[in-house]
Amino acid sequence: MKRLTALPLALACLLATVAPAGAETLRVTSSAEDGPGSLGQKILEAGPGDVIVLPPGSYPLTNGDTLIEQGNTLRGAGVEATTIVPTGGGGALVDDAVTVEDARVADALQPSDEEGSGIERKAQIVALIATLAIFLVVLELVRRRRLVERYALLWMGAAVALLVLSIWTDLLGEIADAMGIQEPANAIFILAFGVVFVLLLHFSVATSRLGEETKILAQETARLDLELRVARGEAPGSNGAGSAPPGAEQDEHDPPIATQRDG
Amino acid sequence: MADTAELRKLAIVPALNEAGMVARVIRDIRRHAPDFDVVVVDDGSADATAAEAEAEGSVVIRHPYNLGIGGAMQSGYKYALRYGYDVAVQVDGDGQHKPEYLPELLAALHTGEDEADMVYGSRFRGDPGYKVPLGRRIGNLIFSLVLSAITRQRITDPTSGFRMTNRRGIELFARDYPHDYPEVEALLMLHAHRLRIHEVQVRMNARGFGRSSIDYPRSAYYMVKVLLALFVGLFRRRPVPVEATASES
Repeated sequence: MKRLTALPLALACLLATVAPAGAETLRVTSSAEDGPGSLGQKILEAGPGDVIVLPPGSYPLTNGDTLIEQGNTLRGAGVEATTIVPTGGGGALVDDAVTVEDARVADALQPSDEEGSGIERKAQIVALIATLAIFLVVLELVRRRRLVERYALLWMGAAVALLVLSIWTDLLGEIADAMGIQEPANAIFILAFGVVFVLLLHFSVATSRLGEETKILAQETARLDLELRVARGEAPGSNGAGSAPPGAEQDEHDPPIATQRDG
Repeated sequence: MADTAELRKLAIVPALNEAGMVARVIRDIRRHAPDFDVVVVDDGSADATAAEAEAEGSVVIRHPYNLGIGGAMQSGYKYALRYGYDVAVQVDGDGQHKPEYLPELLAALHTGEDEADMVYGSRFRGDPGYKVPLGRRIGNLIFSLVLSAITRQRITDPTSGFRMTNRRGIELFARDYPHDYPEVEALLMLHAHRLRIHEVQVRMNARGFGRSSIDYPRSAYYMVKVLLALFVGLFRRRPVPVEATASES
């Protein structure tokens, strides 16, 4: 489930760090459930967008709803060092409005697995449907001869890759790890961007080549048009009295069309 | 060698919507250089350019649509190659290039102190004879510096289209000619293929500038595009000069 909330979370992170220019930073000094310096107390003191800093230790979180309203950031001293134990309103820790940095959320009260896998399953179904749709569209285009097989394979390959990544979610995590990216969701965006970039570049190349080929065709058409008109006596074929009319001297010197196709 | 009478010579006249002008250009060529055949490349004109040129007795290649000056000139060079011309010269259909210089260019091509493969008419070797717009002058200066550095010879007017080439140049350009703004790149191509370039001082008619002195964004694009082409061109393979065998470049 992490994977799918990752992007909104990342966005929220970004917004939280960018938006409130005047955000204050409050420091928690007590790991008690309430009382002066406790996390609960600091949440009450904090204003919207403020950052609450948690030194190494374990902190119970009771009033998570306030946290959501205020859109606060909880900043620990590292995943290893700071633990937040949600005892009430633990949902706040995965809410888009709240950012948790450098802190571990104690397992006990993490949002239930059922809810998580429910989201994941939904996303998988969406991905499955999308992939199937792509497949069908591509096949239909090939059937109508609107798309050459070469590109059909390309798009189907992309669809399969999407399918694999959406079902085999651990793979995405591993890829992200290998790329040194923390959020698997970001990894998929980077990969997708790379693929799209290469595709567009490829199409630019293809378009340039088509332009060149079209130019040659136009020139050849013009030449044939000239020779045809001259042969029919509709157009002058030469100017000087003694010069040879078109077609007089001929070795096939036509430039080779400098393109090669490979599959 | 100095006898140029035997050579088959062709004037390529690229023309786009030059009805009313193209016939005059053809007549001028005939008057000043009667030994030149004329081929007009009508680059997709919407007016009577082709009809007027044919009425004047010129061969006309009619492009089905506009290919740009590069495509038009290449068509002309292909024609020259196909019909076995030894010399081809570009004379713009807008009347900018004065045909009275053709004999001089021809002489420079074949009897110059060192024989050249391409001779072009430069406006800036002396007094251009008319006021050249400032932007154009600056652009020209930049190209001139860059090209002179690359070719290690003085190129004073790299954007001049008034150029005459021999069989080697014809073969080269028939196979490959630059696209949008071809003049500068074409010079680099000649140099890369080790064809010798020579320049002759000419005057040009101001006409033609009215049309081609393009607006600023476009001139900026022109500059950047041509500089990029020059830069990339430096890293192209340098095939052997096109000898009799037309090998793939």
